[in-house]
Amino acid sequence: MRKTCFGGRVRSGRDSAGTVAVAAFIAALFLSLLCSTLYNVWNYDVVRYQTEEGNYHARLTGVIEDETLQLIRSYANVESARVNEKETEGEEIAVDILLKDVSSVYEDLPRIASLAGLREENISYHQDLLNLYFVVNPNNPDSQDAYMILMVFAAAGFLSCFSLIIIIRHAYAVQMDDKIRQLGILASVGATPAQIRNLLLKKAFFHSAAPAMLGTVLGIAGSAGLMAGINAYSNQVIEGRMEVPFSYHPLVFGTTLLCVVLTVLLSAWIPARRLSRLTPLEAIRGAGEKGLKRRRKSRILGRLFGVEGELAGNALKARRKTLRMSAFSLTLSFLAFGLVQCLLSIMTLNTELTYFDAFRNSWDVIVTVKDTNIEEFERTDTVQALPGVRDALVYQKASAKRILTEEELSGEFLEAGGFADAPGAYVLEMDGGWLVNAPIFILDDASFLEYCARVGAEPSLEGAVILNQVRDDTDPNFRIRTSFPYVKEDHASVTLRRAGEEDVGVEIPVLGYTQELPAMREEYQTLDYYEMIHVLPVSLWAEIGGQVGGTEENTLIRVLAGEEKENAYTEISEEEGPTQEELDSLEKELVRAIGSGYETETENRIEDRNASDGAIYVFRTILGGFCVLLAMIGVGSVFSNTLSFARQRRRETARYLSVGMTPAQIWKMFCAEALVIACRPVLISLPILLAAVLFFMKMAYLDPALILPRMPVLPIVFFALAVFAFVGLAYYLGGKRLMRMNLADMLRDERIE
Amino acid sequence: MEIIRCEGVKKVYGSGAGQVTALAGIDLSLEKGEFAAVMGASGSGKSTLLHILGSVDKPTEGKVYVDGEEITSMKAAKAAVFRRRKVGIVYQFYNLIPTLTVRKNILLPLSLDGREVNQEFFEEVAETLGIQDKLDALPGQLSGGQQQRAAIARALIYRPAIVLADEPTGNLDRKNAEEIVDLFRVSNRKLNQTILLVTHDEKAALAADRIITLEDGRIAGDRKRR
Repeated sequence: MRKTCFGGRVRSGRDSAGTVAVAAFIAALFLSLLCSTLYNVWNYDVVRYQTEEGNYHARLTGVIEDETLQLIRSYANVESARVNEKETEGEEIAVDILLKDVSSVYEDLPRIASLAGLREENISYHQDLLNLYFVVNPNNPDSQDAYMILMVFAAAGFLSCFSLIIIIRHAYAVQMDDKIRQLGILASVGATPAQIRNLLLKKAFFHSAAPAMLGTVLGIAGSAGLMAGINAYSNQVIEGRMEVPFSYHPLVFGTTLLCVVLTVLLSAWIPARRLSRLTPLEAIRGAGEKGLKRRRKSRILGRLFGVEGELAGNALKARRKTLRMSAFSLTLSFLAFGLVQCLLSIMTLNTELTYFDAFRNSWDVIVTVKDTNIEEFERTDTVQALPGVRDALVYQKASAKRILTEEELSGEFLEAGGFADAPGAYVLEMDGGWLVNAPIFILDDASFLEYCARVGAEPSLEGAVILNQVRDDTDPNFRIRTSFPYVKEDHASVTLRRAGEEDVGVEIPVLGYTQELPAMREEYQTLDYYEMIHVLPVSLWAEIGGQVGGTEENTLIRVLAGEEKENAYTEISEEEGPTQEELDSLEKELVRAIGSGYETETENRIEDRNASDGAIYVFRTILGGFCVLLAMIGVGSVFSNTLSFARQRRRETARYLSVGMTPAQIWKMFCAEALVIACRPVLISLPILLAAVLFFMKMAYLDPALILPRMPVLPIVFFALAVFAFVGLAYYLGGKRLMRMNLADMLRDERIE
Repeated sequence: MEIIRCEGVKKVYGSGAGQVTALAGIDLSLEKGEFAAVMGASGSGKSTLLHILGSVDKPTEGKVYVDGEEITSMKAAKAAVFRRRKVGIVYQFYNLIPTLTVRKNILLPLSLDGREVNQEFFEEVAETLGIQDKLDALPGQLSGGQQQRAAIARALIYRPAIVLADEPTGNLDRKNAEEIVDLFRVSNRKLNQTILLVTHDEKAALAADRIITLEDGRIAGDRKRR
């Protein structure tokens, strides 16, 4: 039956069969690229966690004898149980356990622990890794977030399949519509709708199978190329980033094939179902022409392009259902692209202003000396004496509490409402005062004395300098802060209290009050507007630290590069500042000078900035790439429409030509249509973009004068021009194909009706 | 005054064994104000002749003069302008633009030329054809007879040298078909419009002053009735 029906129409169906092949190829390529890339994104995190934190599902820590270890290993679901030497301390053995079936980890581990004579407290789960396997801790509501990744992946897959079905079904519809008259004849001689539908589906599958397989394979190759590109680029800009080679799993191939087959079959099934339901007469006469149900006016197009504009407007309105997907995806892609570009520009500026510019003269290199208290650190002098070091500040942070009474508070602060609106999480009202956070910066003695000199405090190692500043809680503008003096500056001593045990405290002398912190990369009063910062020398801390406590585990060294004659407070412009090579070399010198007795981590400002720029670039490229893919779907839909002009618009064009419309006038009409299709996404998106940019600028308290020169005008214009060019090309090819047809033939075809 | 002259017009489709001769050397002349009907069996070449006269198609051989202008060598753009200015074509399936109102459909040849509407003539045509109350409707909202009236109005609006009608009653019931033929008659009399009506409806052809019969692409008969 198939041969009888289609055999004689091979030539006329070749174009539409080609379109179907291209549609199936693009769908498979896109889905394969997406599945493979998502798998690799997931796999990167799995490998990273396994490498950085260990490849285990759960860890048992406790006194575990060899026999017990054997018992654990003999548990049915245990794949391996290995002693982790690094995490083992004395008799406390750490055993890393991998399960065969990870999904039951939260049920099996308590049993295994019990078997080993341990309690649940001895179990620690590798929750990050388990979350990636979508095994969530039933007792930890936060780990339910793991499903979010699954949901995002599933949503990405579903949306992709759905979008592709909407788009490529048009190609199948065109192919099937080419055969509509033969189908009518078949129906008239008794073929059932199911027979016609099956015939059409078989034909569609026959044309799609090979291109779909090719697309799938090329999608995998494309994903490998993409991952290699991201790795190569990221390695250039992010030092120490782990590289995970491209990997693929048979399940991914299975999922891809399933998605492709479902997408192709559903895309073909929708038009096949429609055609199989036509009556024989409808089928023999051909599908109805798209018209308007009620009168519509295309005033703007009419004014701009005359009668051709009006015809274009009406044609677009009549075909709005067909063009809906292209309009939707083009608008969405342009809007998403514009938003990504604008938001990343705002983010970049925001990071620059709040981080890199704000801290430009505050640090060049930061060394984190791990698990070391400042009073234990013995290399301060060596670091400060290093050549190329303008200033080195060794400091540690600690958290304490203070009780402030109403009498202590400044008049300005009280007038502004005092603690009336202070959140309970930060300020606790108590009898006779308020308990507030008192972060402490403990500086090395030399830096502390230099700081005292800078702020005009008494140069002594016996007391603290207090940052006498409280933020106005009615003004959330973090960029230009409004602050009041916190307390009256008449107290010669203050009591710092141990956080959590406020009864324990120590009274220390106040050397001075100031509005300025030492030159360091530390933010303050960002969340807690009421915290009162105290700056102390290490000598004093050595005496009182035991009572106050609350120190963080690491000591930090803030290093400013430059000539030794300059100090921490010398303002140096970016151009005159150190280069990345100088900072890289300084980092190495610092590590060498600190020696192997300390575990250190270093970072430098320029490298951080480059890494931040690089990350934003990668982010911009990936998101931009997805926007381009979205635009390709839209443009593909336009192509799919215009390439079927010869069938869809033959009758319409014949009418225009028959009443004396010249080919140039028809081209003018097509130009107007193409312009509308390409312009509409831009015109819809621009006001939304503008509103979004203004909103985010307001949220980030950014000055429009700063952001305007950084607006990504060029990429957005380029994107819009690319859309214009492709839509124009689609219309040119479709129009050319249509105009090649002979008017007499078109009119003759009309008579068949 | 001669308005149409065909000299040895031939039209051949295809080549080799599949070659079909639609017109095999037509010599024909039509006077201004004449109402002629072309009759013939299916495949006799009636529509091909009409398409060639309307510059919709080109002959394989021969020349065609309309209002003194040779049209077979015209390029596509010039042929289109010729079609809207010199010829009004009426088709069996009306060929109205479904997205334009009847008024705009009628005025389309003028709009395409950027010409002003002669309101008086427009109203006269609409009234004569009985569609003055349908001008703001879309073609899809009209009956077949009304659509054909609108198509005739469009053919007449430019006051063309000749109106070519290709089976204009072929899709209509008897009553509407008679009314349409009467309208051609009226426009021929009232506007002194030259009309060439292609039909295989003998009753419609009888309304014409002259009946030309085609057979296998040749003129088999040509008789004047008045």
